[in-house]
Amino acid sequence: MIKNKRVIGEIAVVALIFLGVAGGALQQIATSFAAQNASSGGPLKNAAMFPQLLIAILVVLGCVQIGMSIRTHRLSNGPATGETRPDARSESAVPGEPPDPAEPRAVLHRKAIICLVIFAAYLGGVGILGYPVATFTMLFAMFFVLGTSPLVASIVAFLAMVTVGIVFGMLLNVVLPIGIIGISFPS
Amino acid sequence: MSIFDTLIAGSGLFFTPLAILLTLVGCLAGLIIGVLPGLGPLMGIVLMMPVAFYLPPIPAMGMLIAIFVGGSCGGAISAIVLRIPGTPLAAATLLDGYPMAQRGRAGDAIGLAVSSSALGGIFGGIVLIFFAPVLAGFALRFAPPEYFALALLGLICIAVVSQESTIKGFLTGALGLLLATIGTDSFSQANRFTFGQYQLLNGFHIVAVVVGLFALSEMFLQVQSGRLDQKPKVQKITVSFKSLFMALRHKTNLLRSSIIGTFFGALPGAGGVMSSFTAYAVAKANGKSDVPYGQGAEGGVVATESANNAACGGTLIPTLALAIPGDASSAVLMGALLLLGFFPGPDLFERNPDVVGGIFIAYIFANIFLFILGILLTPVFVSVLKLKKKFLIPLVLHLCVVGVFALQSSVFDLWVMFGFGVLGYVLRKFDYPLAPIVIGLILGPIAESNFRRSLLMSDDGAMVFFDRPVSALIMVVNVLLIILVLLPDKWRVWKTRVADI
Repeated sequence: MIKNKRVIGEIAVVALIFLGVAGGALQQIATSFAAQNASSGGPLKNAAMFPQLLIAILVVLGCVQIGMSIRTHRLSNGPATGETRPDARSESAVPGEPPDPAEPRAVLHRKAIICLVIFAAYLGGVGILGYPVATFTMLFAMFFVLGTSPLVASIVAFLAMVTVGIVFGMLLNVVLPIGIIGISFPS
Repeated sequence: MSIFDTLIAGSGLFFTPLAILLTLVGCLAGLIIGVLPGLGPLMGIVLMMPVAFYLPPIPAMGMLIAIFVGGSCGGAISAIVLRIPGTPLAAATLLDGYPMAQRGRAGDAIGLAVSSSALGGIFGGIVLIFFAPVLAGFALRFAPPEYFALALLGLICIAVVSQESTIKGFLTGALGLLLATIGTDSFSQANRFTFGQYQLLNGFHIVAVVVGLFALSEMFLQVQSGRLDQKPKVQKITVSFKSLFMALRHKTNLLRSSIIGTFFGALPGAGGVMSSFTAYAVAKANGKSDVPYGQGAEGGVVATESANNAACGGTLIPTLALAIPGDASSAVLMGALLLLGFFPGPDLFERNPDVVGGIFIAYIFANIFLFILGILLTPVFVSVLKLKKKFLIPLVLHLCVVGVFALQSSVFDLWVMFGFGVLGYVLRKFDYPLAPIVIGLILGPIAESNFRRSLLMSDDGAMVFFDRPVSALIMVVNVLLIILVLLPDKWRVWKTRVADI
């Protein structure tokens, strides 16, 4: 039985992303393509021809990758990385930089997840609250989570929101989201 | 049209205040982004692509190419000052650049890096100007089978030399190709994988995908890598224009490394990192230096920096002449050119020589600006290193959102960006290369349309790819590359050496 988390993750990525996309695409070809009469015939009419080729590649290579992950795990009985070379990216996002000794990894993971949630909430709220309010709130919250004091966070958030708003809203004439409050930058 | 006619036609488009100013600004932005550890030329191009969307073609391409050029050099500054390469391109530069700084020659090392980058870049530009039209002229005789075989070659090369696993490179490349099929099929007009969403009729917007995959995932990885509040102590450094003469003293090394850089740049998938390490190894093997290599030899900095910037020019050769991008940065540049309404390849050289000429001139001027800005503003770039990540990360995320929204005022694009950000994060955590996805997305429509056109003109099915000599030759290379990947384990050491070369 496979207990190694890395190997389970490797298999899950292949299954959910690559095989999942391939399965979803096959389902679409069987239903939507067929309904449009575009899943058979010659190169002109058959819109499924090229996707089917790619689905086959994804399925074959996905199975090979799963097999390699299990094999590497069995051979080394340690963390499996497929045939990844030792110089490939690991923990640090910056090449040559070791992990941060000051903050435990769990704390940094938690901060990353909180930032992700704030960012998703911002995307959901920007259409409702409008650019100025939503952006200021998102920036302030993120600065704060990453360790900035509330005063500095609010000043920098406000300046960034106004500067980017002016550049895009006034110089590039982009209509930024107004939201129900109705505040925006004149374009 | 001769090369000089092309340049004259292009000069009319480039020599405008807007184009020159934006090339200068792009170079400055590229240097700053390159200096910041973890960011690089690709990130700079990705972040500024939405702005380019609002500009005339040559100012837009001038700005993006200048970011590419500046970003490819900027990483050397942090490598020399902090021993942290700002970009993987500068990883070889720290081998001698940092020891030079330790000996009190940080200013000389940065000056050498900037001068060598500019000279290498100009060399790559000259090769680009003279060789790209020749290649495009040769490609004029290509028909759909050749184009399909070439697109396949581009993808296979990127996957084969991926820093991570080759199988993973193929997987992400195939995923990119499949994602490119989303939307209305240009042959049958059928809606493919749209799930009833009208926003997907034209497929995913390439900028939303690229910003999500690279910028968003990078920011969350940056949070996880820590050092959010770190402010490195850096010494005050000034650089002199005399460093140009210092670089020219290494003329043989400079020329040899620039040739290596241009060659590797032009090979799809090889790129700047491979070229800088190869140039360093060759310089070390041939170099006669008072200071040994690895302990602060000037030749080490000259070799790596001239090679990785010459690679920028090299990578633009197949991108512009054949529509085959050499790496992720040139793929995004090609995407920008497509969004601006110009399709790279032989037709671009035939129909829009002024645009081609403008791009050539912009590339050369980007390198000239790189030299001037790099020398004059080194103290500014060094002070940029003091910028804390806790400020940088939210600001970059903010730019991502506004930039992607600005494309077509679509909240849907923002969610596409978010989705690809999460995808990019997960794939990077498991060592999947992301470049093949982007290259697959860009090459997808080219590959599919030429694949189906080839079959339409064929009497004996897939044999059409082997009936024509050039197409057959490229397909044989493709098959050989795939066999190389599928070689059994006992050959793996040999395979790794081949890929490392």
